[in-house]
Amino acid sequence: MINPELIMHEVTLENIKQTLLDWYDVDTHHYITVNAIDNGENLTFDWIFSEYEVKNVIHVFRAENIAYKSNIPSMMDVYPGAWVSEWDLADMFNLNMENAHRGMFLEPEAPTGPLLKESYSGK
Amino acid sequence: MGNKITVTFGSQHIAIPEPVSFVFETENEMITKVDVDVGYVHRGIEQAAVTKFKFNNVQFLLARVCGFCSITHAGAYIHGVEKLLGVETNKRIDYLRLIVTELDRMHSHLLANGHVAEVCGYENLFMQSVKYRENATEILEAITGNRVQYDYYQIGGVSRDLSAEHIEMIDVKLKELRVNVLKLRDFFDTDYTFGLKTKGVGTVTYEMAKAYNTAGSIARASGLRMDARNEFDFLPYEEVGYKLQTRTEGDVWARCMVRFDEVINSIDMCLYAVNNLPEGEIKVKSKGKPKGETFIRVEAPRGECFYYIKGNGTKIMERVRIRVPTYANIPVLRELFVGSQYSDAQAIVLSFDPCLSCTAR
Repeated sequence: MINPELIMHEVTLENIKQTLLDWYDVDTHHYITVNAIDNGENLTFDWIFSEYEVKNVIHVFRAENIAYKSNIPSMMDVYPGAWVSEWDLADMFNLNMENAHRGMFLEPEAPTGPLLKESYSGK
Repeated sequence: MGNKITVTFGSQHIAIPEPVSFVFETENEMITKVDVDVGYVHRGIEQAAVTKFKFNNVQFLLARVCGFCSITHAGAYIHGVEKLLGVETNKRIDYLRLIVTELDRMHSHLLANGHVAEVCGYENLFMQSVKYRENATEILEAITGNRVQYDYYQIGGVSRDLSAEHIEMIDVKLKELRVNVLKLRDFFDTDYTFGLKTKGVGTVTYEMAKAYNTAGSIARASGLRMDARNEFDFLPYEEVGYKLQTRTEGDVWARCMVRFDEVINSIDMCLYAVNNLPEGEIKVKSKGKPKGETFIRVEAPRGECFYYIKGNGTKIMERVRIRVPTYANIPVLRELFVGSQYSDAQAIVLSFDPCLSCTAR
C-alpha cells in the first residue's frame, strides 16, 4: 500500500501567490497541478508539488472555504506552465480564474461548470 | 519583410490522428506565434466517475481515459482506493501489476518512436516498429485477454494469474523483442539522414524542462532526473532493476533514444519479474467504502500521471481529479515552436507523444 508523506500548507487566496513565490524553488520543487473540490457550499483549492528525487513526498498548499465567484489568482508568475491546469479548472468549475482563456477544454455549447455539484446533482 | 503565412495544423492532421489544433503564424517558414486548441471531444469522465459509477467500477471507466495508458489510469485509482480502504496487497500481485504496466510502456514507446520515424519520411521504419511492438501486445493479450483495454487491476488484486506456459512464452517473446529493439535503436542512433532531421531539432534545454515542469521522456531527454517510478513507491521498481534513463541533448532524437532505453529497461524488469514471481494469491479481500482523500503519482508511458481521489464513505466517490502527463508538456511545446521551422513541426509534435484522449478525458 502506498504511503505518501503529505506536507500540508494552509493558505488563503490572498496570500497563495506570495507564499509560492517565497517557497517554490525551481531546482527542488516540481509543480504537479492545481485541483478544486466542490464541497457543496464552497470550494477547496489545492496547489500540489513534489520534490525531485525525493521519495513519497507531496506538498499541498490548501485554501478552504472559497466562494464560487471568487477571483482565483494564476500562478503563471511563479511557474509559467501553470496555465494548462488553471484553464482546465476554469472551464470545469466555471471559475473567475486570472488570465484564463475560457473554452479551451470545453466547446461553447458544452454544459457550464460540469464539475460543480449543482450542475450534476440537480440542486 | 518576410513572407508571412498562417498555417493550421489539425484539428485533423495526417501526422496525428487525434483532434488537436495548432495555428502557426510563420515568416519565411519560421514559426513566430502558435495557438493551440485541444477541446474537441471532452468526454466528462471526471464527472461520470462521481455520478454514474460505484467506486468499485470506476477503474473500468478511468481505463477508458486513454487506450495506450489505460493500465496507469486504472492503476492510479486502484492504488488510491486501496489506500483509503487499508488494503495491503502481496508481492505476487505487485509483480503482476508491474509486468502489465511495463508491457504497456513498451508498446506505447515503440509506437511513439515509430510515429517520429514516419513523419521524418521513414515509413518502413514505422512499420518495423509496429511489427516488433506486436510481441508486447501479444503478451498483453495472453495475460489480460485484451490487447489495449486490459482491465487487469482490480481492488485488492488483478484479474488473472500467470501460468507456467505464460511465463515461458513471455520469456521467449521478450528476449526476441529485446534483440529487435536494439536493432531499431541502432538505426535511430547511427543513421545519418535521420540524425539530420532530428538532432538539434525542437531542443528543450535543461533549464526549460525545469522551468516548465515537464514530465516523462521529454523531461528526461533534457537531463531532468524525474520519474514517478523513482519518486513514488506505487510498485516495487527497485527490486526488479529499474534504472532512471536520461540524456542531455533535449532534442527530438534524444526523446526517441530515452524511449528506446526505457523499453530495454522495461524488458529487463519484466524478465526479472516473470522469472522471480513470488508465490501468493492474486487477490486479497477488501471491505468497506472509501472514506478520506489521497494523492497518487504513477508513471504513465508519456510521463507522470497524478490522481487525487476523495471518498465520503458511500458507494459513489466525492472527487476524482486526473492530471495527465500531456498537461505537463503542452506549455513547453507551445514555447518550443516559436523560432522553429514549420517543416520540423510534425517531428517536434510527435516526439512529445501527446495524448489528446487523455487531455480531453
